[in-house]
Amino acid sequence: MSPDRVQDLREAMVQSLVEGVEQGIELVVLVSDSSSTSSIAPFKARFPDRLVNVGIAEQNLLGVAAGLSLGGYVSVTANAACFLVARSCEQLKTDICYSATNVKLMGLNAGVAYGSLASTHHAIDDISILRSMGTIRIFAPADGPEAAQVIGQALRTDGPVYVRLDNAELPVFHGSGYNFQPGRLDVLREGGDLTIFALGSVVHEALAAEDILAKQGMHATVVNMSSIRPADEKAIARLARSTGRVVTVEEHSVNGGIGSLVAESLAEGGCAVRFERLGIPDGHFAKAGPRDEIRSHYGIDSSGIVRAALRVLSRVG
Amino acid sequence: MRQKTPFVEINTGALGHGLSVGVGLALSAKMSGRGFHVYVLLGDGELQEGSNWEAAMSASQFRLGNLVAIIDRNTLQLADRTETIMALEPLVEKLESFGFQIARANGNDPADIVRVIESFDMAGEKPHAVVARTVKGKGVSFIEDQPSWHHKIPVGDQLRQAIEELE
Repeated sequence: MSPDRVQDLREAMVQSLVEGVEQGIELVVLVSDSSSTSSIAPFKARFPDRLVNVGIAEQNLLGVAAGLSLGGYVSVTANAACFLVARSCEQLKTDICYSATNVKLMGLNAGVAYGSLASTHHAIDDISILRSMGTIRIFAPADGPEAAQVIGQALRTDGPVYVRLDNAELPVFHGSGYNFQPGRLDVLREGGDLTIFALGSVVHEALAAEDILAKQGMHATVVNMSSIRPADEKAIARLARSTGRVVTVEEHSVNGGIGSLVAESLAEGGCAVRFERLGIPDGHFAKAGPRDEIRSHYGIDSSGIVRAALRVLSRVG
Repeated sequence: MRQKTPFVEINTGALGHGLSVGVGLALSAKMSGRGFHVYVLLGDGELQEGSNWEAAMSASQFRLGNLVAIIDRNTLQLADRTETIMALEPLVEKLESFGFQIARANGNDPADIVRVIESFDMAGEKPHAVVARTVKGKGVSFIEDQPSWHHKIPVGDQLRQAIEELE
């Protein structure tokens, strides 16, 4: 643990890709004019012949990635999540998910990371879209060591994988010995008053909220939902039942993201709890502006999570 | 489909996907030094999908001389003739301007397609396209070149007549 350290998840991604080639994995990285978006320069400097730039052509990006994987390569695409899931949605469905090709998709700057570039660039639908597409594995690491684990494992496992990434410098809370296990819930704090399920970079907001609640004598279990598919629905229901009060929080639409995943797990597990989803609400595109202001507006920052916690605890929120 | 059917690299069905996948396969052949050739069969109406032209640009950019697109130029699509709905002509010039080496062939004669493919310089840098003119439903009088038969299956008496005519 080195809580003072911060790391951009893309830096962890690039390190994992470089190490992958060094360790003999025949991988190719594909970008769609997204060399700077992906911070891929260190990889390009080492392995220029393994970087393919298809230009601003996201449909072709995924088709070419599928073709390269059929030719024996591990294809890794790296472009903005908004264009990956929306512009090339049918290629994603047909060439990657339905065909189960060996393509690893890095969804960069997901959520509202693009802030003022607004709804064209926000990706608040990536998880709901991908959860409806076959068996593609879906991961959203919350810090650098976890991103390195997720990507390192993805490169060594056959089949499609989506990794939701961020462009923020995020505090490192996993130690170097952390072992990511697909499907396992990553419980970061344990408290008996409520359970907070959080996604990606918002996990850090949930941890900050837990600090505030703890000072007021309330103790939350905080779960990093880094493995969305596979997900352990029984463990989700168990953790929810243990406190009886649940808040989910994500920089994503409340429709189809982890709020939905948790709600489905609770309903199918016959688990009656006080429950609130935080995210971009039904019927809304996210507002444009600085990312912290967008988070604050929708209550997906630490103080918004505290208010939601107080509501499910039936205190003033 | 890919996992269930031998020799099918990937299923299409949704149009405008095949050429991109072919570009990826051809690129893998070049990068790995295995040097195999990749053949992609395209419908002509399918070329109205913009993704084909993204793929065509990249085939030139990546100098994929080992790639051959064979275009079934039957001039029909679901609703009507291609040139009525959304014209593809001048098709050869379009493909040439995207950097392809082109040959025309009689698509109803497989030997003619083979002949033009054998004329291609597969060790060169230009991707290739065969514009294979076909008559759809050839040999069956009531189906031949009829837009209404683009997407239909003969049954009953029609089927018996079609088989008689072909025999």
